[in-house]
Amino acid sequence: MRNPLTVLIVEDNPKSMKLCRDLLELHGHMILEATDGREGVNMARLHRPDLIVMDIQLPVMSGMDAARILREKKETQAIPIIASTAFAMKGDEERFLRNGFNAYIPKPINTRTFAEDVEAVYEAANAEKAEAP
Amino acid sequence: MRKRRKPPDGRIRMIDQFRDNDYSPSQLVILKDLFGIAMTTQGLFTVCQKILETVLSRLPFQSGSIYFNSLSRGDLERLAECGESARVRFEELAHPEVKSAFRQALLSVGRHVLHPVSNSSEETGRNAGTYVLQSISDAHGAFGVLLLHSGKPFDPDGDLLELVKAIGPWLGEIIRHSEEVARWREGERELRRLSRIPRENPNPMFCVDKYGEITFANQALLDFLKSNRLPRVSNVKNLFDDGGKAFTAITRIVGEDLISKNLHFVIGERVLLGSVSSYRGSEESFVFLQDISDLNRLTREMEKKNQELTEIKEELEFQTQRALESNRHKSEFLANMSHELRTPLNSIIGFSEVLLDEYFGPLNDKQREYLHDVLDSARHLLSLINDILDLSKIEAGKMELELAEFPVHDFLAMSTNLMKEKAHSHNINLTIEVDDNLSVIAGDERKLKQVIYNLLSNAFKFTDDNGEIGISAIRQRDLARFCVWDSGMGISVEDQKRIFGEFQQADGSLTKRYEGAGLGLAIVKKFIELHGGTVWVESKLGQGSRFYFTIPIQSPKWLKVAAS
Repeated sequence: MRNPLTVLIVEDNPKSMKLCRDLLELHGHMILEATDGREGVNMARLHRPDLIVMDIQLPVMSGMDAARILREKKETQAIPIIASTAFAMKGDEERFLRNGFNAYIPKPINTRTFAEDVEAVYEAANAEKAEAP
Repeated sequence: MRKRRKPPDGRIRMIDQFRDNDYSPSQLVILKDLFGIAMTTQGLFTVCQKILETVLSRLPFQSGSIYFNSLSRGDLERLAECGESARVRFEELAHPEVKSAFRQALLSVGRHVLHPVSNSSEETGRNAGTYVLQSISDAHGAFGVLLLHSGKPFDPDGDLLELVKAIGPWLGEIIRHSEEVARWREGERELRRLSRIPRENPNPMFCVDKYGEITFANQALLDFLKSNRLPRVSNVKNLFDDGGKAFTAITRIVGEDLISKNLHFVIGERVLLGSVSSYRGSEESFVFLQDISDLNRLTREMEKKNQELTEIKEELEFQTQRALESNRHKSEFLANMSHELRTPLNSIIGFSEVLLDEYFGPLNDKQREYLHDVLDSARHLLSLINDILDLSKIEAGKMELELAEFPVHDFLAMSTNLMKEKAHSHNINLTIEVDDNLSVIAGDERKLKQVIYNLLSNAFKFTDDNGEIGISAIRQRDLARFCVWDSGMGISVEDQKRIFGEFQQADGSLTKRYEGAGLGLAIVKKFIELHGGTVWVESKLGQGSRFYFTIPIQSPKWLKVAAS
């Protein structure tokens, strides 16, 4: 078992939130929860999680806007963010990656690989960071 | 003048006349002289002059003239005149009696003897005396006059008149056949031809001088005015819808270098378009008219039709816009619906999987069985949602092909991998056959995989255990032809026609036994058509089915353009 991560989940659907949280907790990770984009940004700046799983369609502030703000702020710009949405059309993934997301996991999520996928994104982001001067 | 050896026809006729007529010796002397002149002298004027001189020297006249009625050079052409003391010219003949006789001689063949013509108070003395006027004629009639005058009145005798009478036709022949007259006549013909152009022009025209006098009006204009005379100025002025302003303007430009166009004339219900042509120094302007009433009417009709077309076009654009908008709404609705449906499915599938993985404790058999049922149903629902989304994307024109080349055999092997387990569990023999000369094709591999998957799913759905299912791919010229066949229940000819439609299964009653919303073949058809290919089925009830589709081995250019 690798080091437990602090993961911020930004998700307005309580059931999706619960599923996502339970899957990550089963892998021993710490979970922070936010239910709209603004709350997500505030919590990220306050708690500096290791990773963020972000829904796209969110009340108050969309996941796209939230990700952009997080990339602008110095204290959050290095945190890997995963887009996770059921609103997936062709070309969306590209759009997410351009917008500052590190990865995209479409819903419905694969429960058997979800936690490992999230960990892999974290590893990849850290490896990148280590390479950078 | 050009020398001419052969005497003209007219002189030969003179010889005939000598032969045919019984002339007295004194007459013959004169005629011989005249004949000699005619045969040896060149040039019409000289001939006429010499003949006149000879006549005057032998006959008791002091002066004379030869006139020729030429259309091309005014009414009268004086060919010769003679007589120092008493020159006689028609133009100077003030005496009405002589004038009248002259006109008669010009109009009809004959001879007029007037004597004595007395002095009147206004006339000069030289106009008094005896006149002999002889028509100059040919077979067609008179066209000139030989005018002889003696200041001293005398009574001409029969011989003298006979001689004058003989000279008339000779002169006629000589004049008629002279080169000069030939040229004049050519000019006349030309003039007649040219004068026919305005006269017979179906478009009305007229000439006007600077005083506003109409100097010419062609028949078309007269027809328009329902008149048979030159229109009076007021009449013409009324042609203009502005009450004569334009007409005054026309008379003002007479003699200027100007072409003025687009003047409008209204005669009754007719509308005429006029243009005025005038050039420097001219005494008249030409006004050419064109009846544009029909054109006007057609133009108005066309404008009306254009207006109607514009309205139809606008309506169509509006409808198209609305259709596009409604299509966009539909697409947005489907995308949103897909999202809304997937979100709860995410939970259903996710929680079922977590429970089945027994993270939170072991399940008993019934619980596991039910959870599998929940999961199967949820996954089926998810695939339906994906199918609907795919179809709506195709219909909205949003489905794009990702074209690439890929090996056929690997592609088919991968497509059937998912089915291998199913084949094994139902003891169905699943075979793949690929033509040796069909190694690589171009297309959207993911979508073609779905095509194969959908066709195989159908084959499995309708084939009982221990049956056979196969895929074959062969090359047909530039096409790759795929076939997914099975030994299943087959499809009736009637049903074969409708199975490629949306929400269609071969038999409504079958839906209970065979799951599926009937979207699979609709998607197959649309994906293949997107590739520029065709799909069809061959089947007989109870004897299995063969689903074929072809796609171009190399993607056609238009496909690449559309895809890029």
